Parts: sequence; structure tokens; C-alpha cells
Amino acid sequence: MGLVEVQRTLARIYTDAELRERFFGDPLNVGREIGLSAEESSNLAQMSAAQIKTFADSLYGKRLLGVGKLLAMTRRTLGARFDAHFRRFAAAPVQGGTPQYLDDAMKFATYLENSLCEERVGSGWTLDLLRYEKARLKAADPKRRVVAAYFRHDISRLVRSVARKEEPPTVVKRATVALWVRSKPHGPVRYSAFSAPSLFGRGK
Amino acid sequence: MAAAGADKVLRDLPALGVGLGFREPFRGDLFMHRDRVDFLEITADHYLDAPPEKLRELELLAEHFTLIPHALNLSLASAEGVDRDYLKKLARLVRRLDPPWWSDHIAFTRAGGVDIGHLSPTVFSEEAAQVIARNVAAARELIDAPLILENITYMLTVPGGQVSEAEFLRAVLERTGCGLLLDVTNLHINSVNHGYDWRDFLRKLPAERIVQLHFVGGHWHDGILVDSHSHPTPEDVWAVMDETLRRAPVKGVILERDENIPPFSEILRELDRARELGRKHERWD
Repeated sequence: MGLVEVQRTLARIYTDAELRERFFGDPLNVGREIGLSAEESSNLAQMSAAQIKTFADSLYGKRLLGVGKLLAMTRRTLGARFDAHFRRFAAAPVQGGTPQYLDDAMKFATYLENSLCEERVGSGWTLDLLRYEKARLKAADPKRRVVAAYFRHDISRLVRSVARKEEPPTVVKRATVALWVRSKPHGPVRYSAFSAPSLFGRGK
Repeated sequence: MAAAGADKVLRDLPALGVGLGFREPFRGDLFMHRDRVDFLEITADHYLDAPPEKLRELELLAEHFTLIPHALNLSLASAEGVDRDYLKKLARLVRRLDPPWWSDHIAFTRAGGVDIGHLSPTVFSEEAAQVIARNVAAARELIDAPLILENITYMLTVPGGQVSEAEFLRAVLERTGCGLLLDVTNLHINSVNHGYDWRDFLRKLPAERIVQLHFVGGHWHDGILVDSHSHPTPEDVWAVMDETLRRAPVKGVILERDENIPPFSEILRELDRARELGRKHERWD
């Protein structure tokens, strides 16, 4: 087996948990499935399954860390729930291996948004915080001219409060639209938020 | 590149001293302590498709510090060759910064259309050394600045190896004419996880090729020492650095703290300690 084939097989085994488990359970048959000869399968199967799992786990940990940094306020607010949701999200195999952080974070934000909506727990401001971070990530694309998002809370105050680590954060129910605007592609982004008069007073 | 020519290029590189891997949380403190940080290493990948804000940040940093671009994803050990688009973007960045040298890793990060998302070890073989030499030659077609290659940590050994890690590094350096970015933390971690003597490893490396060092602390997880860039540099790693600075004409050292970021005073204490070690061995003023 040449180095090209070795590296291609390793890349798949590192990043596809299901294939990895099947390969080490039955190297000859699974190896045949992915185009390896009996000898090649036997050579690769000499690698320690435990070492490969440790390496694969480190890839997962790195991915969680990267996504967690891009959705930092949501992660801090949700704590262990964020990690648990990400574990479920990351269990699905991804075409092309480990996604880029930004793409991964955007997809996870959508997944998490749906999950939080289904859970129907909390006052809803966590969901607004997540939507804010997701909109900000979208706006980071230098080709995008406008990103708009609607919130049920005064999002600017909420974000400031969470960023300052206030406990509990300042949460004001107030319909708000936030805009991230570039005057031209690759230009600087300007952020503005427009709130309706307070509808429900100060909530928690 | 002929060995003698490569050695002269590396010998003539400027001594930069003691620096820091730039991370956003350091930005404010860096400018307040400009006199205690000699140079910065920037993660090249963060600036390849960067929005204007990031590029302005880069310009600001470049006005005050020598910047060394450190790439993560050229995948120099890829038997399929390097990604030309990535290489072109990297070349543009390196030309823009005009650094004394730039760096990437002895690793592959993608194969068969799969992005692994991390630095993966290659086989320690003659074929793998040839692959790296071919990829380095491709990079040199677009980038004139000297390239130095970094040793990685590895949790697994890829079958088919013909030589030890140290012998493989030596072979790669000889074939490519590159300098070595010796991550002394990685060396220490590998020596612990794979049970070898780091002093013996160091003796097998061509000392004259060691241009730059990385250092930081990792953490233990399930009986394995992990290169997490998350803790202060442990005494064992300071010992590796001391011995390396004694043996090799090192031009600069970089503290690579990424996680669990401490107060900047702690960072400065580590930089001061590295500076003193370099002075002891007359590597810089």
C-alpha cells in the first residue's frame, strides 16, 4: 500500500466513528469494503484501536473547543447542556471529515436553536443569545452586505450583560431588530439595533 | 537546496529573542508591555480569508512587532501534494509580512478529500521524507522566505516506519534544507508518552538547523500527557529548553498559550525566564 492510500484510509478512520468501530471489529471484511487488500487491512489493524480512539477523541475535543469559542456566550450560559447537545450533533458523520469551525458553528447553532425550541425550557432569552451569536457569525462573512435578525428581548443590553458576566443577566422583554450592515463587500461592519417600546416590562 | 547553502541561510537569520504566539486576548496587554515582547508569531490561517477588521489588526501588529507567520494546514506530509489554493493565499500573506522566516508542521491534515482537522503524524519512512521534500519544493516556488518545520506530538504510531522519529526529522531536514522549529513541549510530551530519553533525541538532531523553539504546558488526560497549550511551562520543559539553547544557535523562542489564559503578568514571567535562559547561552542580548 502506498503512502497516498495509507493516508486516505487513516483520514477516514480518524474522522468516521462508525467506520472506525467496524474496521477494528472486522478488519478483513471492512477493509475489503474500502478497497484494501487482506495484507493492507492486516497492517493497519496493527495500529492500536485505543490510540486511534484517543486521537479521534482529541479531534472531537478540538472541534468542541473551536465551536465553543465562536458561540462563547451561549456556551457559558448553557454550560454542560451546550456540550451535551454538541455531542449529539457531532455524532452524525460529516462528508469531507472535520468541518471548518465557522461552518461547524453555524450548523450547530441551527441544530441547537431547533433543539432549544423543542425543549421549551427557560424564558427564551438563551435562544435570543444564540440567535444573536449566529447572526454575528453570518455577518462575519465579508461578502455579506446585510444580516438582519429579530429578537424577543433587548438584545444589546442582554449581550452586554452576559459579556460582563452579570448574574443574573439583565433581561428586558422588548421586540428588537438587529442589523449588521456593510456599505460594500469586504468593508467594515456596522451594527445597529432597534427596539420597540417595552411591551412586558423587565423580566428575569 | 544544498546543505551548506541551507546552513548559511539559517546561520544568517536575525536573532529575534523572546516572543509570544499572538491571541486576541493578549492584544491590549501586548502594547502596554511592548518592551518585554520581542516578536510575535501569528497563526497564518486566521488571516488567509480574513475580514477587513482582522487585516487591520495585522497591520497594527506589524507596525510594532516583527511577525512570523505560522501555518497549520499546508499539510506538508500529504502524499497527494499540497493544496494549491491554500498555498497561494499563504504565499500572499507571507509576501505581505516579509518575515525573516515562516513555519508549518511535519504532518498531514487532509487526505482523499477528508479534512482531519488536526496535525496527524505520517509514517517515519524514506517515502514520507521524499513526499515532504517535494511539497516543500512546491511551497518554495511561491514563497522566498526561509521555511522552518515543526515537530508535532503524536498519540499513535503509523505502521510501516523504517526509522525513529529523530532519524526521520534529520532526514527531512537534510532533504528539504529547512530549519527546525523545535517545539520543546512536544519533544517532552512525546518522550513521556512514548517512553524515550529526550536528551538522546536532541543529540540525534542537527543542532545547527534549530532556528526557533515553542514552549508551553499541557495537561494529563487518561494517563496521556496532552499538548493542550493550557498550563504554565513545567520544569521538565524548561530543562529541555535550557539544553536546547545550550546546544543550538536558536534565533527565537515563542510561548504558545492558547487556553486557560492567565493574567498577562504570568505570561511575562515566563517570557522573562526564557529571555534569561537565552542570555545565559548567549543566544540574544
